[in-house]
Amino acid sequence: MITLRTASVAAALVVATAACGDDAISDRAPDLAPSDVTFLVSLGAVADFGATTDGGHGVLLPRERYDHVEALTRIDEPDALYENLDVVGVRLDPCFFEGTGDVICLPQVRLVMQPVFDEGGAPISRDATVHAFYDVPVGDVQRLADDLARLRVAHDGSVTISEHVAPEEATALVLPHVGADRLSRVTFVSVHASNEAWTFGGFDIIDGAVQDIIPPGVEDHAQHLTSTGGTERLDASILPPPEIEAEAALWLTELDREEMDADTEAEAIAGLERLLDPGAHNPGTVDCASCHMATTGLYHAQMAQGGATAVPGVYANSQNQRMLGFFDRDPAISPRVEAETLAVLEALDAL
Amino acid sequence: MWNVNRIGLASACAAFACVAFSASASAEAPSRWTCDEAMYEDGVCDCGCGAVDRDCTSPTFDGCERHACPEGAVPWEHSPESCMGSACGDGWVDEAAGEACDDFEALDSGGCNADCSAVNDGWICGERAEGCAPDPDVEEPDAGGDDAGGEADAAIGVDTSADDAATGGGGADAGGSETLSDDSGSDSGCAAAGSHGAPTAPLGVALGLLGLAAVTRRR
Repeated sequence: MITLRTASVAAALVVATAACGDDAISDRAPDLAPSDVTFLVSLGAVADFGATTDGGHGVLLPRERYDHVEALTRIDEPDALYENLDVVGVRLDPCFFEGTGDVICLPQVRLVMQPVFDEGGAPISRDATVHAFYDVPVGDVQRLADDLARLRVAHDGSVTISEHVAPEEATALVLPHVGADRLSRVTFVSVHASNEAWTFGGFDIIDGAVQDIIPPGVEDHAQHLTSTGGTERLDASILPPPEIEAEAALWLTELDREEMDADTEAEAIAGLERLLDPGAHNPGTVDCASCHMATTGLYHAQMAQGGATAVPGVYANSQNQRMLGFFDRDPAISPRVEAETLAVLEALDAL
Repeated sequence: MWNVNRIGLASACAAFACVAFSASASAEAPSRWTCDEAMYEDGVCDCGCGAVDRDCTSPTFDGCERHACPEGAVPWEHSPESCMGSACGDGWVDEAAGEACDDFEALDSGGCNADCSAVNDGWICGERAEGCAPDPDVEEPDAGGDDAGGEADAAIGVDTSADDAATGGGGADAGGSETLSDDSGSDSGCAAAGSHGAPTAPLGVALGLLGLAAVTRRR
């Protein structure tokens, strides 16, 4: 079904494509599946695919850019964190946009990185992340998706978002398209010493200069989140208090939730659902922490309402605010990422 | 795990931060205030009480002069009225947990060692959330590993004057400690909640309420 958004996206893509004469859309390969545009890279599966890896356009994350990120953990030396910052997730998007109004497409490849260390003979991720956004011509995004589709078919891989069946070959397809010269944005989540608090932040790279991102509805470039309930309960708070979807943010806090009347609680839960709907919110309309906490928030809300939820069980732990990546060793894929991926496929199909 | 919005007074008294306080009640405490009413707006910044104490002039925990978090918990850096599980590297010196210092990281570099049990040579570390800084009297402080804690380590206002008698009404720089000895074993500062009693505290800690700096110094 061609939605209004899809039509707007398609129109924007046509304009973008026409402006770049050497980015003619190639003939379509196999029908694209979600796993062709969003996939996880199993921990430790690829020897060299991380911040220090050379891509086709430079090192994936230059040290000078990494040093602008808040210390990702309090227990690892900065050098070790940088050297062990592995790519754990890949996302293609021919039409990333943020805000409201006319759609202006920014074709991108996004890499999700987490510090990965060996513990007990097996790799494990730290509860911190860096997202690197690379501006990639829309034709390259489409061709990369096609190449990944062919790889999936050749290996009889999963069509749903998951750990890629051929990670080394998949990452080899991605690398030529990314690197420092195309790096346009870096966002991060750093973890507190207690493992119960995190800081969200990010910056754009504009004409070589770093510009901190101010999330919508937040009067600061940094957000601080705490979530102390673990698997026992949901008790989290975001600072500064978000102004957008404020009821949803309040609902995360146990005491605030208990004091809510029924109508406010219903609005709060509706807010959590909107946060997980890419048609309702994007990075230009809502803050990072609210969006990230919405998954576990909705999990707990639905479980409280009826004891059943479609949100993956990994989000039962209220400290899991991951959208796409690993929570320790467990894959964590938010319903929002699944919905965004479907929108990406719509956009590619509309070309 | 700690419920950051509910700190029972009984559990608060189990920590060294319990205060036996006999002053008359000050301004009315907000509804979520979980500490003794008399502690609210009493001239001392109290943290971990579920609501912001008007005595606290800093939005972060560096202004805390006392805290009422349960054992094993300390004020949250960015919302000091709340509590969080204590951990080496959280920036708060949890003496009850055996920490001698905390430079916002659990690494051997910087002013504090990797398990927060000792101050590195050539550094001065303060109490509570005062962090660490190079000792100005030492030419080359022990760098340990990478000096990853530079920014945090330099961010303290440690008062090295042993006889400084700043009043207790200011922020962390006024030094001093938030505990008060109460040998009677009563917990009048926490009476509403129970009978854990206030732990006995050394005299130096008691005097800390008058603003005497107590710093840990290594040469």
